[in-house]
Amino acid sequence: MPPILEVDNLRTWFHTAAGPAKAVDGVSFSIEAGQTLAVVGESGCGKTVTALSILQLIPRPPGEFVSGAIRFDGTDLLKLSRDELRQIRGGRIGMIFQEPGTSLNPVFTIGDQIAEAISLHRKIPKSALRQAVLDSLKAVRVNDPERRIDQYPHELSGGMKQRVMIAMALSCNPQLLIADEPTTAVDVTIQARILDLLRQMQAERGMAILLITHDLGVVAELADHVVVMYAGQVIERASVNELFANPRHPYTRGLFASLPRVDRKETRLQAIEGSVPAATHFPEGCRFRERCPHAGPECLRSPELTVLNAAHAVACWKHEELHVCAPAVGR
Amino acid sequence: MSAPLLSVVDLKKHFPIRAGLLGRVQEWVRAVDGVSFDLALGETLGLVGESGCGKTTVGRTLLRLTPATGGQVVFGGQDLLALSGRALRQARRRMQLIFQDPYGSLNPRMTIEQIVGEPLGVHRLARGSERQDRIATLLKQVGLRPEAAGRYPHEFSGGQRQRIGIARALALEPSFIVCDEPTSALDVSIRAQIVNLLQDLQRERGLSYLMISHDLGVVRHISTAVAVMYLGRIVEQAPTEALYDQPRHPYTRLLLAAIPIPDPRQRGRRIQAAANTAGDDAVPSPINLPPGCPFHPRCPLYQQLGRPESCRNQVPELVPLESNPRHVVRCHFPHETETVAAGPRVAATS
Repeated sequence: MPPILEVDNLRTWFHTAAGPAKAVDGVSFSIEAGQTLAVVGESGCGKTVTALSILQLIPRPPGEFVSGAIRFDGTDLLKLSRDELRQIRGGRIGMIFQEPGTSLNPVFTIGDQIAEAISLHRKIPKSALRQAVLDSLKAVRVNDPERRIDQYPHELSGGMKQRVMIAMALSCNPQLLIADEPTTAVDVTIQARILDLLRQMQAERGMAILLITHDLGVVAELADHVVVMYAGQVIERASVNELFANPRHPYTRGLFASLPRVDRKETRLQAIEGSVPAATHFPEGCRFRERCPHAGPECLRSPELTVLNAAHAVACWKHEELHVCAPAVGR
Repeated sequence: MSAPLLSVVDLKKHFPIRAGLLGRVQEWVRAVDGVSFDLALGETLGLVGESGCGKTTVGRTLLRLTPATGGQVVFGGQDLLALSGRALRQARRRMQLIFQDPYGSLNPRMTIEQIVGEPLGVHRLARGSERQDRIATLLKQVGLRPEAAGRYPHEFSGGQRQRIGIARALALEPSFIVCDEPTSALDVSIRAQIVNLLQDLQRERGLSYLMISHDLGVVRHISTAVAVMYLGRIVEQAPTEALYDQPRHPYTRLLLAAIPIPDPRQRGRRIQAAANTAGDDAVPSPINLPPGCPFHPRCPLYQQLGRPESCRNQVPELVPLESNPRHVVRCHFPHETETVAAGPRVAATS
């Protein structure tokens, strides 16, 4: 089966006074229907710009799609007109963002806002609209939907707002849901409920999910496949089990080692020294080399993403040497 | 053990809600409602809980950044809440605060030298070349180059700014630091650098920390003991290992179960159980506390025990366990939690 979404060598740059910021610089990945792909990385690695590029929510200028294709169900989204895109955005591709508080319009009831989303994409008589909104609220397990439908965003808790956002995103039965840090702004007990809801929704509807997150715990909970980004590039790609059992890139290993865990006590955290380089001044060659404990002369050239096996690819000159070292997790 | 460095007794902070034409007080938000704990020299108490539980207000109230409604904060033998003027200024030198937001907590118009040196000036501790030497030493201790002194906050990354905030807190050589979510705004790889730095400084200087955080992983790593807050009160407190390995309060168990573990082999089970027991998406507000145990409307144990009357009518006290007097729990059924709280769902799958 062809993938539902295929991002191919995407380059999204921003023109700044300091030169081009190569926020996304040659990123490729694909998602199969019904699967969850997690894009992980730290602030500034380009994961959110990747998601916004798919929906073309990038202001141009200063943004520019320098190269690449984004094929959704066979059509290249970068070649569509504004109107064609608007049909897909919020319709066949739904989206939820980190801050449910700022994504909802404070002067309209949540019922009005979901109704707007539905009527833009589905031909529904006005008389049936309220029922359709109620159904979408019930689908995401909002309790007391008859009361909630007439409430304003400020009357809802953070968790409830995110639930409403999910209801809105799913109201048109999307084939792909893009979720950008969907639980970062909510407390852990609410996060558990949102993650559980996303999993149920996917099981019921068979949609694909592109999950953007920095939280490896959330990745382990939801993802089938994982793409690790660093400085605008994909540095490792693997199935979730493979990545957690056998991370091969020094950066991925560093991420795992630097996590304080609730389920065990560590003596000292292994920090990755230094910080992420600015997008206008990425180093030549491997962009991680200045922070990498294993860097050598070969790292002055850019490593390609090398396929190790069907489930795993890594962009590192030293991955074979590192394979012999003790793995970062499961100590 | 000698007397603790810091002893907080029945600390209360109630905020008035004013409404109407005359601005009369209508209700009170009981943000902190009778919190007590001790902190020994060189140790770290983790204070955890979800948004709105009052953990940040505890930190701000005990430093007297906001006036307390009641209680005592005994620090170095003096009740801080009773001090004023010169004595208060003297006491404050020994206690400092590290903020969550490394962007908002540094004045963008001041150089790093001015920021780190300001406390020295306020307390008239060092001038001229001595001041510069002190600043250079402080920057070095937090892992920054001395050249940083002449630069401005915007020239630094989030992790570096947090180091600057730590240098500022260390300038007066305090013995106690309140760390309010010091790593929450930082990326994973940077978070580990800051946690390690805080631990190194603690070892070198014998510092005591109150580590306020919602990140239970960081708290486990850095704390000697942990207190869990819910709606303005401590509901469980214990030495770190006891709290994480044998949590007794149903709320502590829920919090721990809700955290996704970075291991895909464990996916589903814990989160699903936590989602089922987490109740509604809204935590009750500290304005109108539920009667009895404030946690009972969300409590899985309350349901499993057949909704006992005591949970609805009687506010539980913080009581030490027989097996470990340093492990205190605010629950009518602290021993039941061990056997049934996790519920049949978890028992069946794990």
